[in-house]
Amino acid sequence: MKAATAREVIVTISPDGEKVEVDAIGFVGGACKDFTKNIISALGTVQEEKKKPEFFREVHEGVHIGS
Amino acid sequence: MSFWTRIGVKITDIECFKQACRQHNIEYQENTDENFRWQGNRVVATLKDLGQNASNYYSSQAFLVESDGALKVAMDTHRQYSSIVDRIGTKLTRDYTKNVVEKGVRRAGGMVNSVQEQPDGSVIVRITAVA
Repeated sequence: MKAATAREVIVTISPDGEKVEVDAIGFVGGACKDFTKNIISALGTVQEEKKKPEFFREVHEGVHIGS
Repeated sequence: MSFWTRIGVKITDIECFKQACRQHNIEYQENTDENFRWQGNRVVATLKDLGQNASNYYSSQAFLVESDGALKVAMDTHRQYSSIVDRIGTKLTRDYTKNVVEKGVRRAGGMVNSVQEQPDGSVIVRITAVA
């Protein structure tokens, strides 16, 4: 059975509220985008973005039967 | 970690903004006069400070105005002339942003674990998304 994975997003709001930084942790592939896209679009416009190596990692699911 | 992004906030969600006003004891008075402008920008609402230092009529209000396709809070930025600046500074916009984040998390099926104000006035929101 596959255990639920805790994925965290840390949002840092500047003191004047005009800048927000979003840091997605524990996601694999583009799942972080799926979760955060509506939040980000409701806030405003993306000014800078950095994809981390995990973003490009493929998601492998299913049962592996070894020899 | 899979990605990091920086966002320029635009005020577009009136309900979240009204919520921030209530949190800071500010009355939101919608403006119906199309000609009412502040520094050339159309006034959407007058924000009246109901806090304890709000004694003077003129110094106890700010405006929510249209600017560049979004909304922004406009006020006299000198704390001597604005009780809102003196009492809450820029927390109104900051907490609007926090409210938008919390609303978005609820809609995305996530959970806000903590909201912590930092010594510099910034706010850190920790969110869990369960797979």
